[in-house]
Amino acid sequence: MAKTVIPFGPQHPVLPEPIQLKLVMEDEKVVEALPAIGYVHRGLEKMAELKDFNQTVYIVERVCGICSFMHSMAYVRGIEDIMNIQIPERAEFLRVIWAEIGRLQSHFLWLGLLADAFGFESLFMETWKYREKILDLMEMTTGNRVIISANRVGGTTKDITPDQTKIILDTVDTLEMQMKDVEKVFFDNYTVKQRLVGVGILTTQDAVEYAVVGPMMRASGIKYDLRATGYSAYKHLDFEPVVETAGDSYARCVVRVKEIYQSFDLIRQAISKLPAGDIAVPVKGFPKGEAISRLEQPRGEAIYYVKANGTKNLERLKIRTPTFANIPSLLKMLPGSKLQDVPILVLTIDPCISCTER
Amino acid sequence: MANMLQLITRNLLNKKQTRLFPAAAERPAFERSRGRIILNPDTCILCGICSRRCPSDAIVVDRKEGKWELDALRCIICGECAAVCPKKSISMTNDRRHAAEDKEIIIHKVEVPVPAPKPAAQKTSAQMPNEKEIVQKEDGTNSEVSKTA
Amino acid sequence: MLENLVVVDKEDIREVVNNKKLYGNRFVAVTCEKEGEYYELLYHFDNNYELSHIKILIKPDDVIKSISSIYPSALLIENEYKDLYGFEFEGLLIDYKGNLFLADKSPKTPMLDKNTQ
Repeated sequence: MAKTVIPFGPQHPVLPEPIQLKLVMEDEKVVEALPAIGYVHRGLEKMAELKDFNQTVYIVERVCGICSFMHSMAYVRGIEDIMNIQIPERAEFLRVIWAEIGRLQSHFLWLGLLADAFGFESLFMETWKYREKILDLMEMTTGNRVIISANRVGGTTKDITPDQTKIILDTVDTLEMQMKDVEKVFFDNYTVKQRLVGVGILTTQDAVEYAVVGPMMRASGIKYDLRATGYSAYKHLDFEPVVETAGDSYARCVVRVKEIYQSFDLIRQAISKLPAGDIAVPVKGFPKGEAISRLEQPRGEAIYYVKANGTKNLERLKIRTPTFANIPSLLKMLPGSKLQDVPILVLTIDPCISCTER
Repeated sequence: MANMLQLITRNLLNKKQTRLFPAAAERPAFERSRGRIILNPDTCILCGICSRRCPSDAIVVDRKEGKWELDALRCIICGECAAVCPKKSISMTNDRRHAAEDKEIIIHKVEVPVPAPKPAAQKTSAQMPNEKEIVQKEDGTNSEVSKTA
Repeated sequence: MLENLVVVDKEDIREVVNNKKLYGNRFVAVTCEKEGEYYELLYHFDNNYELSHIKILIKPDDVIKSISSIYPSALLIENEYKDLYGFEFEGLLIDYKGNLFLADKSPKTPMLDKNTQ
């Protein structure tokens, strides 16, 4: 049988960002796959050595266009760890509220793209309609929709007033009611199940071998969520990781939908426990030392290594994002699958390529 | 099958979620929405702190000639300059900038006579209406408006 | 300072990493940093929410043994360091030959020297 090579090219209607996969095919089955990245490399780690440590907050935010708030939160926590700054409690709770709203908008975006991948356009538009209400919440509290610039070393830059918390709670209640109708389409619809059940199975052993992170790990039966370690204000909130055992694309979809409900609950808890106080402390001097900070982004675990040497510029900033750890699992999932399943498989790792390449 | 049909009929019977912009009015901006950076030249002392803190090097301050220049195309509207100004002369308004068809640069010079630094506000912008307003306010001082297309 | 840090010789890296895998550690990341005239490579591992680290010291011309036969997901980070720093790895699962991030006309090994554009 002759083999053909099909480039699942950098431009594809289903991909939010450019990644190229060279698929070696025999008839309709994929035999081998080779990923290639490098279309959006901007050299941000080098730029962080040329700017001072306060300006780097704005560079780090722009690493990704979807999970942008958590990047700046991880960087700022690293610098505060080096300089031994204790930030006020109110600032911790505000950061958690914005982080959970960011997680909501990322999961709604993913659900819409998944529906678009198997051609279900009306479901795609429905989920993005709900995403607009969440982006309105962000704009009301901080001024921008995704890249919000609400963090600085020592606290946050903006505050949430009591009127705004009331609007946030009302929106969360409405969305939860509406989400209960939409989830039935994702879970029970006959055509959706035909496209998702049994596609791209990653067993628990493979998930450990390929070191995947995030909802992919939790959908294969491993119970691991960094928010359970209690960093930032999560130690005051009550929370259980969501785990499924099947390991196929249907299980990953179920994990992300259940995390949406979990985020609604966390936002309600955080707002009810919001303490009074300042939002920032003044910062003097320059950092000296090294620190590692990790947190749970919508796509998995992100780890930041920050090293400073006592001047206003940083010595080294190293970022490892969750999609960087998830891409090698494509080498296991793609061989043996059919060509029509390739877009769904690539989307279930939730590819955020501009995070991967910085 | 029935679940999606229920959602579709509900959407058909409710009002539309989209607006026919520019035929209909656009949604009013929120109070904290980020729009543009403006300077009040009367209180500026040309210290240069805003220019050192800007992450994208959009502000250029010239102490000898008395010029404060903002490149609006480089600005990322982060708000750092407004937060660190010691005299609180920079502020951020929430009027949105729309797409423009041709680019007009309006150079605006205001000279405050004697003693200390002479701040003169110079802006590059791609939209007309607000700039005209500022020109008209400063009557009584020299103001030259020159347009280059 | 980082806790749980072990310094090993660069020839023994494969045995030490294999040992980590047998104890159930998950591979997290590799960080590279300049220290004096050497470069240090820090391997980070995670076991039940606790991080541990292994450090080796190398010079830019050395050949480093790759760990992608033990942990397949290490191939991306080793190719990235091949592009950005110019290190040579031996035994890579997939070798992109310096073309993962950088094209033919890009500057070569941009991160090797500090404070240059």
